[in-house]
Formats: sequence, structure tokens, C-alpha cells
Amino acid sequence: MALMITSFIQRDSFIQELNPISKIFLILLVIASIIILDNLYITYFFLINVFFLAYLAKIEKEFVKGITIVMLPIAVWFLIIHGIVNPAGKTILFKIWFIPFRKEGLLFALNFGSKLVTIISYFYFFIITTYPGDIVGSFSKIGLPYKAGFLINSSLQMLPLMQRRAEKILEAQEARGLKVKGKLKDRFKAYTPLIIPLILGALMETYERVLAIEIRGFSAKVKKTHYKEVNFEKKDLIFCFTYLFLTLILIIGGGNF
Amino acid sequence: MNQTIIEFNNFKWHYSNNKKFRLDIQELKIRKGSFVGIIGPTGAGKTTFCYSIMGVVPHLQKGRMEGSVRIKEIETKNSSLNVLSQKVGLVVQNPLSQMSGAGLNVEEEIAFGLENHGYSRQEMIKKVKKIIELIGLKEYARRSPFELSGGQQQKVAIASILVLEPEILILDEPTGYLDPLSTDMIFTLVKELKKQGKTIIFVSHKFEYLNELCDEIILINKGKIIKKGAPTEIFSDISLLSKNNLSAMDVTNLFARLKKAGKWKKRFAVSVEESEKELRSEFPWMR
Amino acid sequence: MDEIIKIEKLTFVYQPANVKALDNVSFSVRKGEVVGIIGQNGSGKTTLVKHINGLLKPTRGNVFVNGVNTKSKEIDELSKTVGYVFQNPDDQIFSNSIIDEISFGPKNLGFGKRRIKELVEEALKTTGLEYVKKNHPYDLPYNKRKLIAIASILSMNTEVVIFDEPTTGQDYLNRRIVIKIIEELKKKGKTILVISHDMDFIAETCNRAIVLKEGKILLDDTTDKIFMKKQILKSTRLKPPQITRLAQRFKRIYDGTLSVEGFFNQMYK
Repeated sequence: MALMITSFIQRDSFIQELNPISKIFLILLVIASIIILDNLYITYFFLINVFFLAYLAKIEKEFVKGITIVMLPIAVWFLIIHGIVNPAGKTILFKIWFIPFRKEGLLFALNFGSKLVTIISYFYFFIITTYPGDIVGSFSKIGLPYKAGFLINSSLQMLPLMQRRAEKILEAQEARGLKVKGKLKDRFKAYTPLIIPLILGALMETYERVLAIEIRGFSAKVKKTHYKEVNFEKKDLIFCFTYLFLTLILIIGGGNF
Repeated sequence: MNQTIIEFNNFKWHYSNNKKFRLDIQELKIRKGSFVGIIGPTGAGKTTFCYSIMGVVPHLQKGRMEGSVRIKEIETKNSSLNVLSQKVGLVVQNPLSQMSGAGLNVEEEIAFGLENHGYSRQEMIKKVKKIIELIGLKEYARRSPFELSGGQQQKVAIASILVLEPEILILDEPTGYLDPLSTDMIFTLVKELKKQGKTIIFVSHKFEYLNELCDEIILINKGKIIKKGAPTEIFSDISLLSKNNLSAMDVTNLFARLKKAGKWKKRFAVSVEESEKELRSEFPWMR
Repeated sequence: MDEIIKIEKLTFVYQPANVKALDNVSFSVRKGEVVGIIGQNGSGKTTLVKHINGLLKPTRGNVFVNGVNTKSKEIDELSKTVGYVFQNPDDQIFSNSIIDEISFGPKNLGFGKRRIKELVEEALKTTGLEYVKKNHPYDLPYNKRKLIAIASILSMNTEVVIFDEPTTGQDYLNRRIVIKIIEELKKKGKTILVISHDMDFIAETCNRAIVLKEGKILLDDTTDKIFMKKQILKSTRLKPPQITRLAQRFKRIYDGTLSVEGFFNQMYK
């Protein structure tokens, strides 16, 4: 009954087959262009692009759902806060219950917020279209430390597990009379009894898991091999070059948008 | 070939946050190919015992070790988990924490140990296939370990260890969180492994199963070996068990009750089969 | 009205997976009964009991607690009447001291300070945790933390207490403590439901047992009669307690014998 899917979704599309490094390359290009250019049109171009890629990966429904559920409340909150209190704000655009919303603050939130949303969307896209087992293999193929790849990989797998556990914890605490709906005050009080067991449980399980992987030779000072093959194929080259080319055009075109 | 495969000599261990010795074993020899059951109350030191054979003690735990534990000719103190993990395997109680998350499906999870030791892809594919057949995981080979039931996960954990082909397999209460069906499945699996000549150390509270499978039982309490003997010897000794906060099985308690009423003078039975036989022979009016 | 729990044609389907976990289940529990719920994993045991404190609401059918339909009540309201001890104590422990942890439930129920103190002291005594009440819960090993979880529900003083696998991971001593706790609750007239794989434990504590298979009730009878139904139990791969299995090998001994003393008495009446 998870609201938001945080694990790999298998669909029949080339996006899932891409080498994870290609997607990470794209993410780096996006971050670089957004930061270097500071141009809202380019940010929106990349935002539309990630939805396009989600469509190509045949996960558009889950992607939109996940992004909306996480981003929308944050974005709205962001807009409100900056609209009211951002120091650059001078011109009052409108009032809600006598609270003034100023133009400069709203513009800032729109600008900065759009960039943030875009970058986060790319990370989410990466998580749900990348086969975790490939991450480790692709990392070590290009010489990155094996343990780093393993860390990313196994953390991603833990997300849905933590979700399931959070649901169990919620049930156990509700059964002890914890109120989670209703007044804001109640919702704040509910925070500790839900978060602490989650964190402690995660720590304990991590400790046990470390033991389990050491028992299987995790720290053996041997060159690690890979069961599943991860290669850099033609589609990876095409993907990377296309986006590199696009990004270069955008950067050179620079302030002309 | 009844050579000694595990040997403890004047072994003492205490964790660094506790001055008292957690485990104190003067001498213990375990023969190759034997199936040893380890029993004892909670906190007795059974897990530390398992860790000492695996090498988790002293390599992954902070503390002080005296004496030695030998796996064949290798001394655990002077070796490393990397070497030991190819001779000894350990399966623990929580199936979930043994799923490394290294791969998205059961095959990859099993291959993880082989990947760590640098086996070639051809070898890995062969070994993984063999273990999946042996343990009966063909149906789940392509599924995510995290979607499986506790019993199936435990089978995957066992497979992931066995694929490294250790000679010694230690199981520390592997059925603690499992339902009766899965528990049965694990014990059946281990029975098969025994037939293949593996040395098996099995910690459990399930005396009925241990009685059926073990060659010998070691009772551990307060960090020491209290007694070592054949299952019938240990499980029929009600006062020994009760002194160590354990309970004899109900059929054994029946014979104790008969003795208390002056109706039984012989040894106490430790299984349903044995009990039926003894009752029928001594009390022919029991139809 | 003696019936404290009434399950009426309960059907539950998990969405979006569309899995039918319970299929037209009906039974009632009278005040003071101790009922064991047994069956293989996936038979619907946990799904069933989650309806009693409102964690789940029926897809079809009704669940009544003290005459009130659970559909009209929130979980925190029902928790005044129904206490649920979950299997894993680490899914709920969050306080810095055992006494705080045990006080959480009654605080939520709105009891006064003095009443909370009374209830907490009593819960500590019943579970044998008085001497460690100021300790941090994680100072204690797992099996003792299970007792903390039980105490934290006992302090809520609910009329109905549900135990989900109270003896898994427990050794002999702790098992006896759990059995003692249930006996004390029985004496106080509480209604108890126990989900367990431990047939010996069910035989010793429950006077009635319900066997579930694939979401349906297979058997609902007194514990001794349940363990006599050899064929049915076999079909759901459940094994009767050891002493019962021995009793079933002798014509002279009642097939539903559940204890050593019971067996002995039948040999020498």
C-alpha cells in the first residue's frame, strides 16, 4: 500500500537496459547546465525532458505519481514561505487573510524551486529505472570503488523495506492509542514514536547485515568479479552523445533564450 | 575418517565492555562429519560459541581472546574471515538481515559470496545452478529475495553460504522466526546436508528435532560447556536440564511422573517412538 | 450480552494486489474466553485479528466489539477496549526508560496521573520488570523486550488482549512467564486471543482454538477436540503437541490429552 514507489520498476524499454553510468552522466550534465546557465527556460526544458524519458521507460504513471506526491507539498510550502518572508520582497501582489505575498519572493521561489524540483526528478528517475545489481558492476568497470557501488545498491533496496516497516510501526503505535489524524499538535506528537523504532531497527538490521556480508567474504582482498554482465553498448553511446550535444548547444546558445 | 575438524584449547573470550569471560572452553574436539546440537538458555554464550568457530570472534568483535580455536590446521586468531569464510559458514536467526541486497534476484544474492572471492563468471554460473538445484530454489531463482517468505529467505541464506562449499556449516537458531512448515523444511534440508558429509553445528531450542538428527549434544550455560553427550543421555536428564533453565520434553516428563509414583525405574524416553515402545513393553495392558 | 467479539461473514481483500485473505468468516467470542488462532503462514490469522482493533475494516461483513460495529470507530477509540501485542517489540519501543514506554498506552487513553501510576506498577509486577523500570529498554535482551511490549499493553487495562506470536524467540523460562501472564489475565476476567505456532503453548493456555486455512475457518472447537482431528490437521500441516501425539498411539488414552498429568491420570485412575 505504498504511496510512492522507491524501487526499480521493470518495463520493456531500452532505458532500463542502459548502463547506469550513462544515466549518471546525464544527471551530471543537467546539474552542470542548470547551475552554469541560471536560465529558467533551460531548467524547464530539462524538466520536460525527464518526463519524456519516463514516458520512454514506460513508467510515466508511477513517475508522475511519485513526483507529485513528494514535490507538490514541498513546492507549495516553498512558494508560500518565500512569498511571505523573503527579504528581497517589496511589491505586494495579493493578500490572503491579510498576509501579503510579494512578487520578488515568489519569483525567487519559482526560480530556485524549479531547479531543485528538476534535479530531484532526475534522481528519482534514476532510482526507478536502474537495476540495482547493475550499479555495482558498472561502477567497478570504470574503476570506482566496489564498496561505493555496493553501498548505493543496497541502500536503494532498503527503501521499500523501510516503507513496509514504517507501516508496521504505525499500526503498532496506533494500537496503543496514538492519534495520527486530526489536530496538528497530535501529528507532531506522533513523530517520535514512529521515527525512533524505524531508525533503531534500521541500525540493528544494518549491524546484522554487515556481519552477514563479512561472513561471505565481503572484505576479501581479491579482485571482485560479477555475476551479471554490465556493458557499455551502442545505445549508451548514442544516449550520452545526444545529451552531451544538446547540452553543449544550450550552453553555447547561452543567454540567447 | 573421524579426524578432528574443530578444536578449542584453553579458549577464553570476553567482550571489551565486560570484564567477565563470555566464553570459557578448556577443551573441545568436534569430529569431521558429525552433527552437533547446541542447547542452553538465553544468554548462555551459544552465539559467541558460533562466532568463535566462524572467526567473527575475534575478527569482527572487540574483546580479548586467550587460547585457540583451530579449524583443521588453521588457527582462527591468525587467519582472516576471508580465508575462514571458505571453510566455515554461518546462518543466523533473522532471514531478512542475511539478504545482502547485492542483487535483485535470488541467483545474484547467492552469487554474492562467490563474487567477493573473485570466482570467474563461468564457475559462478555453474556453482549457483548446482546449489539452486540442491536446495530446491528453482522456482524462486529470478524473484527478489525481499519478496519471499521467511522460510524461503532462510533457504536462500543457506544456499548463499553453501555455494562457497564450506566444510563446516553453523546454524544459530535458524528456525526461530519461522512457521512450523518452514521449520520442517529447514530441518529436512539440513538432514540432506548431513548425508553429504558436512560437519554441522546446530543451535536450537527444538529438542524433538535435535534428538532425531544429532550425533551429540553440547549443553552450554554461563559461558561454559556444562555437559557433552549423546542426545538420549542429555535429553533424559531432567535435573540437568532444569538446573540450566531448560525443560525436558513432555514425553520425558511423563516418565519422570511415572517414576515419582513409583511405577518406573528405567531410563526416561526422549521421543514419541521410544516412549510408545517403552510403555508397551513395560505396561502390556496399555493398548 | 456475553458476546464481546462477534465476527459476521467477514471477507477481506487486500488492494491493489486483489488478494482475498479472509473468506466469509463467522464466529463469536464470549467474555473471559482464551482462544487460540492457529494456521500456516498466509492462512489469514493476522488479517483476522487486525479487524478486532480496527486496523483493518471489512471488505464485506461486520465486526462487532462489545456490540459496536468497528466500521463506525477509529483505531484509537477501539484501543480502549482491545489491546494488541505485536510480534516484534522493536517495532514499537521508542522511549528512554521502560517505565516511560509502559506509560505511553494509558497516557494516550487519557487516564489520570494516579491511575496511570497504578496501572504501570501492576504491569511491571505482572511481567517481572519492576527492578529494571528505570533502565533503557535496549539494555535488555530481545526476549525481555518482548515482555516490555506485553507490559505496555497490559497497562492499558483493555478488556480484550490479543497476542501475536508471544513465544517466538523465547526460551523455556520466558515462555513460562508469558504463560503466567495469560493465567493472571484469565483470573481478571479478560478475554484473550493468541496467535501462535507453538502448539504446546496453545494446548496449555487456550480452552478453545480456531484453525484457519486459506482465509476460511477449518475448525472451531475446544483445544482437545481440535488436536484430535488428525486428518484435518494434516491437511493444513499442523502437528499436535508431543504428549497428544503419544496419547493418540494408545486406544486407552484419550486422543485429546493435552498434558503430562492428564496422560498419567488416565493410566492410573
